[in-house]
Amino acid sequence: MKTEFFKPATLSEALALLDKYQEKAVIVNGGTDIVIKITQREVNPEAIIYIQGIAELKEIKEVNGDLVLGGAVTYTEVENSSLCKKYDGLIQAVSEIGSPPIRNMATPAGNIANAAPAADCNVMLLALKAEVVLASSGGERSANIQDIFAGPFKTVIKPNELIKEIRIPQLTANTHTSFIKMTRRKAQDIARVSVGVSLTTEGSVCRDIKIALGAINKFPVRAYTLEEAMIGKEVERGVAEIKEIFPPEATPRKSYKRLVTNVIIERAIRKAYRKAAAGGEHVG
Amino acid sequence: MGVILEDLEQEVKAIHADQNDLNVVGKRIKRIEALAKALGTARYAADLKRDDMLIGKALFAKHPHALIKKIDTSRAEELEGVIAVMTAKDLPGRNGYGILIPDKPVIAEKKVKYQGDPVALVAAVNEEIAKKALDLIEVEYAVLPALDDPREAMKDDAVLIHENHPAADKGNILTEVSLTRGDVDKAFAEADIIIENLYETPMVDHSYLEPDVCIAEPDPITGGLLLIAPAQFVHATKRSLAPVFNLPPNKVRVLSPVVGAGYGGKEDSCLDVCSIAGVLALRTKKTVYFELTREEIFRNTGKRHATYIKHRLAATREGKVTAIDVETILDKGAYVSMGGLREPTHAVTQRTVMYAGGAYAIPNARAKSYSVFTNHPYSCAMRGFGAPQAYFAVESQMDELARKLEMDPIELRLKNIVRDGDRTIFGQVMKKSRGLGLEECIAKVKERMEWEKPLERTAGSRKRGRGFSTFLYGTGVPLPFEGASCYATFQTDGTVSIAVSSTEMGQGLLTAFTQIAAETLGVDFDNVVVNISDTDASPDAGPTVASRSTTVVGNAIINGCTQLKNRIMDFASRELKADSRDIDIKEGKVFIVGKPETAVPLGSMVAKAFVNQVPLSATGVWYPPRPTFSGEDGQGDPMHAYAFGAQGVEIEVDTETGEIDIVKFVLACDVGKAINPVNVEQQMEGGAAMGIGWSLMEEIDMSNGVMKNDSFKNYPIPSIKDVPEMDLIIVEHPNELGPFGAKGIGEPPTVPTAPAIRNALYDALGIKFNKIPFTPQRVIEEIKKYENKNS
Ligand SMILES: Cc1cc2nc3c(=O)[nH]c(=O)nc-3n(C[C@H](O)[C@H](O)[C@H](O)COP(=O)(O)OP(=O)(O)OC[C@H]3O[C@@H](n4cnc5c(N)ncnc54)[C@H](O)[C@@H]3O)c2cc1C
Repeated sequence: MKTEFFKPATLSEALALLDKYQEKAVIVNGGTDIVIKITQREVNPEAIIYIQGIAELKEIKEVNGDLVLGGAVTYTEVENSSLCKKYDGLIQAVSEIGSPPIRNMATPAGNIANAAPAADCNVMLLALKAEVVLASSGGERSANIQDIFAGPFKTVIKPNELIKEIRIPQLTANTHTSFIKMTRRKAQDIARVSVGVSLTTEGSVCRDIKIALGAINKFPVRAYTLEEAMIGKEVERGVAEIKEIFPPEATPRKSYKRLVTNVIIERAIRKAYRKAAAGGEHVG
Repeated sequence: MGVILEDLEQEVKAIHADQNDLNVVGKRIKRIEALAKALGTARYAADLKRDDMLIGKALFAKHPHALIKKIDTSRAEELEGVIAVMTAKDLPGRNGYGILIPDKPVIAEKKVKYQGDPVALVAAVNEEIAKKALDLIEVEYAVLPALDDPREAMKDDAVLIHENHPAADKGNILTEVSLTRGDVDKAFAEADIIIENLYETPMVDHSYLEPDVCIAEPDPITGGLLLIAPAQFVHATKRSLAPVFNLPPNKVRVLSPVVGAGYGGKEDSCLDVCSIAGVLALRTKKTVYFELTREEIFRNTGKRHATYIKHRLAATREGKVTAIDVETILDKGAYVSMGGLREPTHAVTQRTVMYAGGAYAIPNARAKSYSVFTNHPYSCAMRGFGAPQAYFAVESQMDELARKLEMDPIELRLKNIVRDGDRTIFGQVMKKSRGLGLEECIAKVKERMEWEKPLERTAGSRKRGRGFSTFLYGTGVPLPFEGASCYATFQTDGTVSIAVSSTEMGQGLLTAFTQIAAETLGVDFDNVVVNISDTDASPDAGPTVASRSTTVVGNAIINGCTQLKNRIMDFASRELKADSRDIDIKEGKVFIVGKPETAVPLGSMVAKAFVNQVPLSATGVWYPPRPTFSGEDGQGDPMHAYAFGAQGVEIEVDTETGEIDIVKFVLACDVGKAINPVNVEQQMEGGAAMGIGWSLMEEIDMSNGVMKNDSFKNYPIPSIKDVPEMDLIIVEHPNELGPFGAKGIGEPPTVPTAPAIRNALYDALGIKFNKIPFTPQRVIEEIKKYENKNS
């Protein structure tokens, strides 16, 4: 079987190709996940649609205060973008993915569509309540990131759909974000446990918090139980209270993950809170 | 202990007094191959692949331990583009190879003994077809229980892995090496203190960057074969494989371009790929390219021996170690490789015995090591060759002893280390004349660690600790044929060609050899070219292993160059009408000593010599004093010289996550003479980094003979962030027999790291870790256990 290679220059061209080939097509973005699967013959596409040539997917912009990452934006581009700077947690998550060469190629959109349980960017996007805009030749729809994942390496994205952009809502006042991942070595490693936090404070009180956990369930999950336990309390008290509560949303098989998950959660909250304490009023 | 350093200073000055007039040796010269490697233009074996070559592929065992009932290759043979399919019955010669003994089949015939055994080979016009052909081969197996644990495998009722092994001692026990010295039982009976512990070390992968490949090309004129492959011992590859090809060794040429690291592994793995590519090339009469995938490299090629060590140590109240009693069980994997046999090649098994007592003068010793077959990848040579395992045990024991005595661990070591005239547990007398810089290493590490200062033990969840360890490590192999040959040639313009069969695998040997030749001949560094690793271009220099090349092969180069130099000086004495003893060659000029006006460019003198029937080539040779070692009592003089070293680490443990940060890392090595200090430092850094990987994260995970982590995704090795900045100290106590005083440095830096970290962990947490690696998981689990016990 021969595989056709396409490098469309526009989104509509790409969508037309997807329409034509449906599940026999594979989108290649940075290629850091999918190319391995292609060379290992885990997937055998009839058509490869390489989307890094589509200019309209390469944009990072602000729309009504929301941050919008195009579907072909790379991690390096996120790291270097002045618009992304205030999302500390996002920068922290992104800057530890793989190595510089990986980050030069790989994309948040690829992270989402690949849907690995330990995917770093996805965890942070979950804490940021990102929305995923899916385009197909029939039009566009938008889905909350938490509704995208259907299982390990499974999403609800249809074969003819493409992630056009990722929308990250504007941070409310006094919101600070952070990300921490636990790995077996200090660089270029898949998370064993990862935590993304978005913390809104009023003085020393936690007004709102989102805690996203990675690598301890089939896909990234929110620790709602802990969030509820924190909201309305002094941050310090909340942290102390949730210290011993293992988030029921997590289902780790390995005992080690059980032993460290709460520690990482606590550290991630403190990391965001330190920023709040230092930064005062401003958003970030 | 500043006193020691002062005492040493005088001695050190005297030692180095006569080393000041060197022009090339001892200089920080940039690696010859550095630029080409950095630019990506250096050509490795895989870079020589051409489109017209056939692609070889092998079907490897589906089960780690099974009888082969039936193989049907007919569908594969029918596939268009498949040129040959081979099973064991199609082999041209002996179905077995191995560096020490030919017990590993080229293609398994009746039985597979580990996942890496090939059952069928394919040559096809391209990779796609070759892979497809593998899918079409049908093999029927009768599965046997797989053995994972050598402690179980050595029992009498264990399933036999080899029915008729040509060398096995008994059952699955390949070999047993023993050492006895003094009266061990009496020493234990009289001991004030006895320390007894069990230690475990994991099987790990070499993780060299360059994959194993072979290009095999039939020679239409001789009917022989050319094998191009990354190899650590081209001559042994030729010797071991010639019978496989049913060819005399002089028709097999092995050539190894620059190698992307080997660490001992490519001594064996090159046989694996060369045997397969070679038989396919002979079968098809075409050039065949064969490459292992990374997963295949993990599953098939050699590993570091996992060990289980029971170590007992007896000492007096004053801290004098009086005896050790050690039993080591090594996981041999499926084949002998460098595991060791009876006399004279005890190999890795021997080193675990030899180093069981560390760098200490211990009067009574008993050590017994068993090498036991399992259904694992064959364990082979890997940087340190059994020593890291032995030192993990003995240096941990020393720490336990210091703790028990409430004595400073460095002070304890100074009470026990070998000094001039002392004997090791293997009975060899340590001589100052061969370089004995251990005390200087210890003193310097102590100083740089600021050992006297109380440690700042950080509060909160992070805890600090310090650890220390020492080592001695022999240069070269303890085999009766140890030695090296090379060719040295003057071109007629006075430039120099050296031909050696050693391998450049990133250790910087090309540069060191060039320096040695240039210094010996009195020519510019740039006027020497060293040609490497071609069995047809150079005589046998021995393996590029055992930290031996700079020393052993370096001496052969000096010998060859000295012969050339003497011939030219002799000829020049006639030309310049002077006594040859008054002639010298320096900086590319020949002159009468004391008369600079007589200087003639070396090139013109060599050209003149050539037309006057002076031969311009010489065979350089060197042999150390003949190594001895008895497998019965473990006594002998196995190596002519020993490198020494000491290491200190300070670590910070995150007691909530189990992560370890190395915050201080001081390593001192006595290398005799640093021919190129940059190379030495790089060996120290690289070796220590490997030690860190072994200590903290690496571990091959085998279950029922199946490797669970056969890719770098599941097998972490240290990233640059896991390797701390190192404080490296080169100590030089010259070896009277070494080139310019040199001793080996390739492997030693891997030895002291694990016990140093282990001892620091103990210091930080008060918890014993006798099993490596110290992964965050293991650390946190031990902390929890300890907390539960103490609450
Ligand atoms: C050495 C290495 C280290 C790594 N380290 C990390 C790490 O630390 N953390 C981490 O999270 N991941 C890591 N990864 C995984 C990978 O880099 C990330 O998941 C990355 O985000 C994937 O992005 P990509 O653009 O390369 O995706 P691709 O490989 O191009 O695509 C991945 C999947 O997404 C689909 N896809 C891509 N873009 C779109 C789109 N716009 N619309 C619809 N579908 C799309 C593809 O069809 C494919 O199925 C690592 C990978 C490697 C090779």
